[in-house]
Parts: sequence; C-alpha cells; structure tokens
Amino acid sequence: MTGHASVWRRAASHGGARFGLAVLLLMALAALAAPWLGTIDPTWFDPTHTNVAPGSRVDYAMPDGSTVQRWLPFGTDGFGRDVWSRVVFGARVSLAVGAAVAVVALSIGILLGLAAGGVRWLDGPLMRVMDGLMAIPAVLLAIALVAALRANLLTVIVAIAVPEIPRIVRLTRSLVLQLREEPYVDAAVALAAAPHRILLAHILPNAAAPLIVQATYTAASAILIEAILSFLGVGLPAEVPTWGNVMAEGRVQFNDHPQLVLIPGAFLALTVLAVNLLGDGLRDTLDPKFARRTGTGAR
Amino acid sequence: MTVGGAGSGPDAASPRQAARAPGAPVLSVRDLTIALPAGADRPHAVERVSFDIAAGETVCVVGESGSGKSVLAYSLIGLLPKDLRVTSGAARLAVRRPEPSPAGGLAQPRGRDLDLDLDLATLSQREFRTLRGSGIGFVFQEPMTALNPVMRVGDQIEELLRAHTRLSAPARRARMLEMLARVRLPDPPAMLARHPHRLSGGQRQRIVIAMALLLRPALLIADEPTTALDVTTQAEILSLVRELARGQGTATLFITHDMGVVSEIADRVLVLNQGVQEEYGARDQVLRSPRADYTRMLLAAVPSLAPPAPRAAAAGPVRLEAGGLGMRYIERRWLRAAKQTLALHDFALALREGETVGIVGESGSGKTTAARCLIRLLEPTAGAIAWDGADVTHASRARLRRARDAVQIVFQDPNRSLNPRWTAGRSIVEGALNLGVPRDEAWSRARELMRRVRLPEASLARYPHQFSGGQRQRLAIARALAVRPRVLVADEAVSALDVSVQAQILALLRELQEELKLALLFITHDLRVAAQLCDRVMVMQAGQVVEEGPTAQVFGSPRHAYTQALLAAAPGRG
Repeated sequence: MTGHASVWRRAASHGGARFGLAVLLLMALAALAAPWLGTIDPTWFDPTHTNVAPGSRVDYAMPDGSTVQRWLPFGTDGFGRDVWSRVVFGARVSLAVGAAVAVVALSIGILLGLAAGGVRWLDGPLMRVMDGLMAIPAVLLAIALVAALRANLLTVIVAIAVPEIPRIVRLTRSLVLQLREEPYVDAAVALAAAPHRILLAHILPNAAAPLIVQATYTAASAILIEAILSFLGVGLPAEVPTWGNVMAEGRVQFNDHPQLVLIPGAFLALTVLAVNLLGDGLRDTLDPKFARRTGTGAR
Repeated sequence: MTVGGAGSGPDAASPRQAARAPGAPVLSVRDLTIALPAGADRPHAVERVSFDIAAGETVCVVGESGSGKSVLAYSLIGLLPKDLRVTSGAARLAVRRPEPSPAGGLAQPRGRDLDLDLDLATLSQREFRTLRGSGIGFVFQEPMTALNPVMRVGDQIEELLRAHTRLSAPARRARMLEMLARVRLPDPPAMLARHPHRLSGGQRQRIVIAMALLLRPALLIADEPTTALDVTTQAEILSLVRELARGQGTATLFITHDMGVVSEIADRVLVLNQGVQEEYGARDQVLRSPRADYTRMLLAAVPSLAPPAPRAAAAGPVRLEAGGLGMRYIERRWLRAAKQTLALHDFALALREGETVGIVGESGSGKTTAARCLIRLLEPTAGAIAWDGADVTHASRARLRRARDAVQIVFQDPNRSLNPRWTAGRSIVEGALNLGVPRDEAWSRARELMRRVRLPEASLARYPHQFSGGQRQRLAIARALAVRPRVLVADEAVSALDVSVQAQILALLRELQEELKLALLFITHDLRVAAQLCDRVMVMQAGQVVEEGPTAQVFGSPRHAYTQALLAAAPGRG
C-alpha cells in the first residue's frame, strides 16, 4: 500500500492539515475527557455567584451541597453556571453533530449519487428532487425539519444532514460520470464484471479522495449550522450545553459581559477553521490536480 | 550576467554585446545542466548538453519519454517546473533587429543586431518574459489546449502585437491577416473572428505557429508540435514549419520522439538518453551511420513500412465475424431537427484463428467505434456480430457477460487502463473470477501469464503506479488473456509507448498469438506498425472501409486515393 501510505505522509507534512488535525484532536480529547477537566455538571447553577469575571476564585456552591473554593477560568453566566464546564461539554455536542452529519449525509449521498450516476432511468427523477432540495436554504429547511420532529440530538443531526445530501449526491454523480469514461472501467465491462461491482469496486474507490475532502467541509458546515439553530432557539433545548445555546444566553448581556458570547464563539470559530484547514490540506494532497500545482504536492 | 530584454530600456547595457560574425549561430548552448529534485531516479534531468543552431537551420532533439528533451526546451524560455533548477549553462542568443515593416515596425528595434549572453541559471522571470515575446517563439504539443477557448483567435493573436509592438490597430490587423495567409489558413478574416473550438486540430496548430512566428523571433522552439495530429496533417505542418523558418531565417529547435519526423525536418540531430547527450551531428550522419549504440538501438526499433514476407493464409475457424455493421448517433435537440452522425457504416470482417487483421485510419475514421462495437461495449445500430459463431449483436447484458471469454481488448493508454487502486494480481484474476473460474485456478493462470509476459511473479502484489508504461501494457495483456479469449482486440495498444518498448510489446503480441492461436484485431493509426504485424489490413476513412486486402498488396500498390495519401504522408519513408 505504498501509494496510499505516501499520500497520508504527504498530508501529515502539510502545514494546514497538521494544524487542523492537532486542534481537532485536542478538541476531541477535551470533549471525551470533559468530566475530568475540573468541570462540574454544566446545568448546575450557584445563584449567589452570577456573572463572575473570568479567572476569579470564589466559594462556589456545588451540586452535592458542599461549598468549595473554585477557580473559574471563564467565569459564570447570568444564572451562575460555570462557563468553562458549559463550553467543554458543548464541544461534545458540536463535534458529535459534525461527525454524525458527515457520516449520515455522506452515506446517503454516496448511495443516491451512485444510483443516479449508474442507473440511467433513475438519474433524471433523482437529480430533479435534489435540485428541488437545493432550492430551499439549508438553515430554513433544517429549522422546518426540527420544528416538525421535536428537537433532540438525533433530530438535529437528521435536520442538518438532509440539506447537505444534495451537494454530495451531485458530487458523487459527477465523479461516477467522469470515472465511467476511464479505460479501466471499459476493461472491467469487457471482463464481464456486473454493473454493481463496477460501481462499488472500480468507481467508488477511485472517487474516495474528493469525497473525503467533501466530508470535512460537510462536518464544518454542520457544526456551524448546529450553532445557528441553537442560537436561534430552534435547536437543542436551552439547558443542553452547546456553543450556540451558550452564545444565545450570553447575547442579552453582551454589552456588560461580552466574554459570554466571545468565548464559545472563539471555540466554534477555531473548530470550524481547523476542520476546513484539514479539508484543504487533504484536498491539496489527495487531489492530483492541486498536488501538481504546488509542485511536489505539499511542502 | 543578465539580459535586460531585447535591447530595451536603460538596463539594456547589462548584457555583453559583441559584434557578430556572419553565419554565426543564433543560439549556442553550452554545458546546460538541470538538476532534478532530491529523490528522483537520477540527479539531473539534463546533463552538460551543448549545441548550436544557425539562422534558418533546424536542430532536432530526439529522445524517448523521460529523456529530458522537453525540460531542455522549457529551460530556454524559463518555464521549468518549480522543483527543477538550472545548475549551470550558458546560452548565447543573437537577437536580430526586426525588418522594418511598412506600417511602422516593431516597438523595440532601437539599436542594432546584438548578441545576448545569458546565464540561464540566473535569468529572472521578467527577463525571460521579454525574451519569450520577441526573441523566442514557442509551439506546444497540444493544439487543443494551447489556445484560450473563450477568446476569439484574432484577439489572442492581437494581444501579442499589443504587448510587444507599437503598431496601430489597422497595421496590427494587416500583420495578422498576412501571417494567417502565410500559414496557409483559408479565409484569414473569417478565421480571426472564430473561437478555437470551431477549428480543427491542424488549423489550431497553424494558428499557434502563426503566433509563434508573428514577432519574427530569432529562435523558434517546437515541442512535439505534430504528435497530437494525424499523419496527413502532420506532413503539412512539418513542411510549413520548415518553409517558414527557412524563409524568415529563424533558427528552429524541434523536439520529437519520432525518427521519421527527424528525417523529414532536421538539419542536425541531438540524441538525448536519460538526460545525457548521446550523439550530436548532421542528420544524414546520425540517421545513416550513427556513432552511439543508443542511436542505433532507436533506429533499429522503428518498424519499417515494407511488410515482411506474408504468412500462410489462416484456415482455422472464424472467431469474430461482423457484417453490415453500422453505428448512428442521434442527437435530439430541443425544438430543432435531430442531428444524425454516422460513425460507422457497412463494416464487415471475418477474423480467423491465428490471423492478424489491422484496421488503420486517422482520428475520426471510425476505427475505435468499430472496435467498441465488435467487443460489444457499444450496441451497433445496424448489422450483426458473432463471437465464435454465436450471434451477440443485441444480446442481453447478462448473456453478454457469460460470453465475454470469447473476445478481449487491450487499450491504448496503459496509465489509465488498470484500476490504480487495485493490485496487478487482483486486476488480472478479475475476469476469470467473474466468469466463474475457481479462485485457485484464476491465480495459477495469473502466475503463468506473468511468465508469458515476462514479469516477475512478485509483481502480482504491486500497484500499477509501481510499473513503467511498457510493464503496465504487459499487465493489461495478461489481464485480457486471463479469461483465455479466442480473439484479442488491440486498440492502439502500442501508440502511447516509446519505440524501443513498442518493439518489445509487438514481439510479445506476435509470440502470444503463435502460442495461443489467437485471432488478433490490431487497430492503429501507425502504418509502420500495421505493416510489420498484420496479415491483412483495412483502411478506414470517415466511418467506412475504403480499401482492404493483404498487407503487401495494400502497402505495395494501394488503389484508393486515401490509402495513397496516407502512405505518402508517413514521415521518413524509405
């Protein structure tokens, strides 16, 4: 597998990809280890300590009834909730939504795209439905779906994934149409390969690189849309700590306590930036067209 | 030492100017060495190459792929890929003062004839740009992509004159019309208003040549300018380049892989092998009494146009048969009459066991359409096809799949005909497995075939990118033979290969045919290859067979005018 290995090695030496991957790994690690990072229940509040400035040390009333002197790196919000805990637990929701949407949208999108590109009579009807879906703004469609399904993590993921699907179907279909003209596909037909084998064994593996890149962009956009939904109050319930919810609640006090919006906003921006940089890095190294443009790929 | 452009501006003082003796070379290159990036298969793309070109003279640089011949050309105009670097090399370019033109002349002819001493290793991009505009003209290989598809031809040519001359608009137009007439394009005013897609490949290449010579450069560099063209077009373009360059006194550096082209156009020849100058001398000396072994090998590998003595006529059973075969494409257009294209008309063939039939023709002649119908990658719109006596003209996909062990195909481009994500072994056993051969037997066939195509058995575990072009074509042949076909169709199977590799693959095909009693259908645009390999040939033009017969007869006394034209256009006859 030297060919594949060298691609990954090249990706690893790409500055942007390396930075993006490092930030993402750090975020994922923080999200997984959230309970052990000096956090408390993110929904717990101490009404006596509201709007504490970041970096203060206060005698905080804990969920178990005791009072402990705690350092609050990001302070507390208007209810007296620990912002650090809410932001770290919020990373769980954001990353889970990003990854899950990418997986869901990609699996359905690739399936439909292969069908559209590989089965002639399905192509027209399927693509017209996708065109119709694309005509509806993604956020509005997601809002409508969440409203219809009642908000919980699963419905939010579905609602964000559905508007992403048409783009992936289009990409997959165009890759299929393009790769179908390759001589090795003609050779496979001459070698008596069945149509589904040609699609799955010959065409799909060669379409993997652009689809992986698309997956990163889909994940980045899903993280943003989840935050938008939460911020608008149509996403996950307000008590669930997500970056969008934290920002939405901080918004009313933005003039006095801007950090309540800026801190989760910074985490959101950094994560989306990291995912996009990773995607750009993968595109530069996986896509031979871009690799050629930069000389020997990435340096 | 630098060049401040062709005698332009205040910084023109920097190049060393010397009085030039008459008959001195327009370009002399000394000790040009270009380094490859670390990790490449050799340290230098081009190593200590030296040559001279006099006015009106053509020097051909010949070599196989990877010889560094294109890199050599690109280094002279500063268009090297980023990771290549000129480490040493001096060039002396004599820039002539352009002849004054009636409409006011070029913008930069202040001063007199001058010789520029260029250190190619340090020349800046800005200096190269001035050189490219008026000192050196360049013709690229691919006429389809050398022109901007969204700009009218006239605007693209005019851009050159705007950038490099101070001619008025009417004078520019007059110059362009004159130049198009000189490259013998019909109706120059209409040509100027066209977009490139409305021109044929040959017409486009004429436009590119017109652009390269428009500013009357001292030096013309042509990088495989006829490789993408048909032979008849190639012959016209070659004579055009020769005539224009002689007429304008332009020195020409002509890059090619084709010894036939060399014999048509070269005054002197430089043979490159792996970046090393093997031989440099006058054309007749290099072609008739080469000094380097490598040149001898190259010349010996070029197939002759004279067919060998015919083999006994094949008497085995007919393995592939077609009659009245036709392919008509109908393009339905909204609110307009449907447009019909007849790609193939009334094609008939009976291919017997152990026999080789060649289909020759230029691009668009229908030879590939015929091949794709015969192996039923396409369903013909007329006629009938039989494999091993069984009719498959309109067979269902499932029936076709079961019958596919009868006929197999080898494609032109070995870089694209193997799935890049599959190991060679997996590709080779695929057909056998699809046709129900047990796994063990399929793999033992694959191992046996590797011996036949002379590749080590360990190659089965490798990926296509780990093989050379010739090795990949051997793999493609092994893959086709793994289903034990009775008919092998080779669609331009040696056209993308270097001549030395081509000779090996042809020998392999001949040998496999003898041993396996294959019926071989060989499709090619190359008359030389057809002459050597085929028992019978069919000549196709515009979707129809215009002549067919035993190879010796068709090549020896062609009856149809088109066959005669094809043979006359074959470069380096005799």
